[in-house]
Amino acid sequence: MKKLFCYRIMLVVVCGIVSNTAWAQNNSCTIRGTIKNTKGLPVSFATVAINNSEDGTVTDIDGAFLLVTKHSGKADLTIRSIGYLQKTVDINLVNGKSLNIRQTLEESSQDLDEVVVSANSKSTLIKQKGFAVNTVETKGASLQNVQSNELLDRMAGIQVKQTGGLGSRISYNLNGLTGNAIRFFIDGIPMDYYGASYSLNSIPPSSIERIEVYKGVVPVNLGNDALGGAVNVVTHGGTKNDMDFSYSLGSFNTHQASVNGLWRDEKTGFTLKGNAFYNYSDNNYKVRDVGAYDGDPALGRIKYIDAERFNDAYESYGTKVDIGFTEKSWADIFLLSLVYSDMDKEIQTGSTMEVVYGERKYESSTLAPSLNYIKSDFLTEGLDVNLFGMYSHLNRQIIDTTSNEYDWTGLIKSDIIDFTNPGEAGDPTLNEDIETSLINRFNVSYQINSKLHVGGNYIRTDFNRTSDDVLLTPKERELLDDKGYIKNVAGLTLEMNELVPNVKSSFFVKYYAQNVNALFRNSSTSSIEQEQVTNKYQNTGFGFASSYKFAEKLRLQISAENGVRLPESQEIFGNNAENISTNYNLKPERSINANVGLNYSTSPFVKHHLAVNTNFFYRDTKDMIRQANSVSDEDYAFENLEDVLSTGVDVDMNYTYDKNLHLRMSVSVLNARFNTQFDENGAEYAYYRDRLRNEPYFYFNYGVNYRFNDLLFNQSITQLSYSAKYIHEYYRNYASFGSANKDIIPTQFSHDVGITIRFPQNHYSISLDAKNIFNQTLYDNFALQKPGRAIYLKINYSIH
Amino acid sequence: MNTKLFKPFVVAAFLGSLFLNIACSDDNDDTPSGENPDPTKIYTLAQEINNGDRTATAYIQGFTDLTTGTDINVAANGYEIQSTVAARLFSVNDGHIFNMDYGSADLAKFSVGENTNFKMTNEAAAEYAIGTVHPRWKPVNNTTALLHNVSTETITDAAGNYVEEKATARIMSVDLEDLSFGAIQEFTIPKSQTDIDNDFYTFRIDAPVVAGSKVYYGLQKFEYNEDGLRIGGNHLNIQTLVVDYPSLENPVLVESGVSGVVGATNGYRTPSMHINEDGDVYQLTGSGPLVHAVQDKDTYFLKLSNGSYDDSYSFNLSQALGQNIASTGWFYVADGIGYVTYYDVDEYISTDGDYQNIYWGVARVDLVNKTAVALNVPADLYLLEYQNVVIEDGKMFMVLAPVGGDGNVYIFNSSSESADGFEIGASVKTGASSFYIGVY
Repeated sequence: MKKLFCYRIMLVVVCGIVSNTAWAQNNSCTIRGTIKNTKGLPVSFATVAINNSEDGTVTDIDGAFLLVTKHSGKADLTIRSIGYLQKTVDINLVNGKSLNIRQTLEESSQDLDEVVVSANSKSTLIKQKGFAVNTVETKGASLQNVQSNELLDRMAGIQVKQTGGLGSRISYNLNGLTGNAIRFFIDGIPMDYYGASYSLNSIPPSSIERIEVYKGVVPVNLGNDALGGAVNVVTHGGTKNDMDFSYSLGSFNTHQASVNGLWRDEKTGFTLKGNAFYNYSDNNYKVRDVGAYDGDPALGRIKYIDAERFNDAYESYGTKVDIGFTEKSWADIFLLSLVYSDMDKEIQTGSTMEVVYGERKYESSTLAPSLNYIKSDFLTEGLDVNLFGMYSHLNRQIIDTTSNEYDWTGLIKSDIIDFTNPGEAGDPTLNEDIETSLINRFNVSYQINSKLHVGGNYIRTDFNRTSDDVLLTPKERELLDDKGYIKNVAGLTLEMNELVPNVKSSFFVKYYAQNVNALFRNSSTSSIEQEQVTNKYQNTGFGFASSYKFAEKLRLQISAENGVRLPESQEIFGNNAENISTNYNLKPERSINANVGLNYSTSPFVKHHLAVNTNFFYRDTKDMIRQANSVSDEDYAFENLEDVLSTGVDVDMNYTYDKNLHLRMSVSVLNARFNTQFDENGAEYAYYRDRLRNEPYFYFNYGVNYRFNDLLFNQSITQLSYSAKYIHEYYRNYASFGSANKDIIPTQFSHDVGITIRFPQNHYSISLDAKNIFNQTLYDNFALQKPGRAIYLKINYSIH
Repeated sequence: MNTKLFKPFVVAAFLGSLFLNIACSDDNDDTPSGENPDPTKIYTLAQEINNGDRTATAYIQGFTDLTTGTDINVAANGYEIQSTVAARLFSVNDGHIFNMDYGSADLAKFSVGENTNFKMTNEAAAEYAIGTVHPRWKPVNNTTALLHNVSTETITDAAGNYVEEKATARIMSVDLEDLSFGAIQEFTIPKSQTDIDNDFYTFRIDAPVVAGSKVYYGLQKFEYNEDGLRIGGNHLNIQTLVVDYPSLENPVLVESGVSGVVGATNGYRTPSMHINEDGDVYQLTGSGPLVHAVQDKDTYFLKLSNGSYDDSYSFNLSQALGQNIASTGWFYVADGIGYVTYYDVDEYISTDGDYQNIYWGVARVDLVNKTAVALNVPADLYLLEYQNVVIEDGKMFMVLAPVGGDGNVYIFNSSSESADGFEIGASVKTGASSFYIGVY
């Protein structure tokens, strides 16, 4: 059968480039060349395509490309790239002969058109390696009033749950695994060390280039014990001078501002980058049908009302500054960076809507200087190194001291009784945690030849946490726990690029070692002592990812890994303040993860472009660490208690028509079951094989974007967008229990619309977005309610 | 560019989503109503599921006949009860069942129907009144329940040195007719000389019983050290807190003068004291290692009347059974006959989890003749959390099932002195994480 695509081999470098098998035949013509810009710098990821055909390719980091085509005769070659004016060149194709093209592209600010096309390039490249990975490019959405977490939530297989409005605590469910089974990274560094104030809650989409979600099988570059998967937030690279600024104003007194800037001196390569953000919201949205006291609270009568949240405000601000040199002969990147961020969050409820706080809050701040050195072709061609070192200092405090009491009507006071106890969620506390970490990462990759590539990653973290609470007695404070660990994660990977035709594979091994220590008190004896204890863990893991292009538009991908999560300090040593006792016999959590996926993708160079990715996944997780269920003992230890078997399928679909219409849809079906059959006495669990409680298992979302040129204003691009999310109802408790009065989180179907107008010549854009337009009641865990209808207005200004 | 495609699509999408919205409307979860409650007695069985994250959910189901039937599985078929951490249920035999949601302190009253025909008739929120979301409660007669909580405070002197632990109790009454609240009282729990000498404080009060114008509260003590830190439980005597009723004022500590009696008096989930036909209160001491942390002491029945211990009465249950046992509570039928849920202290292993300590049994006791008979109930029982029984015509209904296994409703015949003095009724199913907490 005649193949429509030509294939060829290209060099695989750190950025990752499309590779094809050679197909040298006499009835084809080879076009090779280099694309540069007016400053003489190479333009990477420019698409080079033959008009009215499906032949096309993408330039590599040096701006070089090679295209093999079976066309002959006269043709038009079109070169496109973000930030540049499109260029078309007349060429004459002669079979058996090669053409050499050198072209220069001129800068343009009309870059949004190309976003869809080159977005596909980067995601496609990573996917082609065989990992079950989804990426979301944030650039297009950064003009709209969309949060980074909302972009993540649009992907199949991942469910983002918040306990309330902007800034509230988030939990992620990836293919049935939650909590610290999912590891987050910023540019390959574990996000935990940056703290809650510098996280997906606060970093604006404009500072992010893309977010990658690896499901179940994680490449060695992300060096952490990720049991169920990893999310990597890639921040802006780039070397072009630019600056952009945005400000958004919206419902619930929400204000968000961000600034991103880059300045680079051509001659010296001196680079200054900065981004800063500010987020504020009162989060005073209405909640429905909540219980409040009817009359004097001491009488205990209840009424159900709609109320406005009053203790949920969020404020965060932060900045990241990079200073150094880029694109020198001795370094691609040599940057000294500093992150500073701060957040304040009021806490409105406990784990259910019934428990209301009026003054409890949480504060956190981070200071993290770091150094990064990246050099490709270090000492020898094909050897790339990336060195990173960071020291982070994190502060976290809970503030809960008031004797006031609150319900959904606000402050309540009784005329009948006058007893008060300080502390809303228990004992009054001003507990402060200080965490310091020293992180060092060493990443090396070597391109042996065009088909073989090896890589290694090593990351070492020195972590320490101390706690203090001025409200405790001096003796109790003296004996507060001091916890720390030294964690080493190393990985080695071998990538094979079409050793077997149409097959790309990578194999990897990982090594985890953790040395946990604590200084804590032993309260079960009659005298209290401080004890220094350590506990060591060592584990190895391995896996592979492979993709096979078995038809011109179809790619099969398979990946598998035995994931692990090492126990954390609190799980091993306990925490006397919270009545958690020790367990030195705690084993790591383990999971056998496997993915089988099918990717269908038409050429991105023609009018209709359709990409469909499906992933069937299997997660067999054992020994999950949970707090034991002792009733009579006041102290609970963590134990390896739970096995979970999770299977399902994720489908993501993207369709674009002529760059003006874009449709996307993702569907997730999840079958996560409690998989421990017998307890230690040999008795069978009543909920063995039951669906995990309180987790959605069927959800989908879709969106439509349509672009008009010069619709309301001359020289403008107007985009209309609509998106919707559907979550099927699910039970709060185990589904097989009870047949009446069951607590259920009802089906949710919410809709957002928006309009964005770009004025390219004036560098402005303005975006109006309305979320949850039908004012649906939306929920997360334990039926905590989320915001209703809301409207936001955002303006963007950018200079190039 | 072709805009014709766009508009119909958007309209279709909007209509489609509207349609889906209407089709997927919330379920109306009112239980069916309208029928008169069945005049025959309905027994409610309650089963608790431990969810594995330190919360538990309770399910209830009503039956007209517990003497026959197979494979009752309340957790699978029952009516779900609101339970933030756990559900505390009781009944006073008037066709209603009451729940206090431990974790939110919400109270609810349900009319009892067969199967899952329960209907909430009243609700109240006690969090503000009682000052905690984790109070405890117990009915003291057919019309009133008492809700109670103890909070402790560390007292230091001006220089920051540790002085003592102060325990404050808050008690209130709840009218079971409409869940309205009565008197709410707060007071410092008095310390006896033994308490002061040994750095004890009262950590919990529970299991109240009203007799005449007094209410007796069982209590449990903890020891603290000079750093103000709690060290396990400790007792050197037997004490009960006595408060005037119904004013709930004037707390007084009374101590038993019977020699050799040591322990806690608050039970656990099972009641520790009951009032008999003469208005006297009989109390079972908590003298074992489980929960009460008492070592090497016998378990006794003691008597309280007129606001203090009547030291002329004591009944050594450990001796009567001839075994090293301890208990966290018992049930009273009539004429001095009762049933005690006890565990074997020799078999008890403190480092094992609760569900591994399954050496529980049931004994029939005769308080007048001071005798006790261990009944031939199944092995491997877990009765630490057993809360309630139904007493009818001298018969006591109870569910006994080995942990994780199948069991039965047992109907004990209080007039029989035999170790087999019971009938086996309907069979029930349990699982590793679920167990029956009572018949109501």
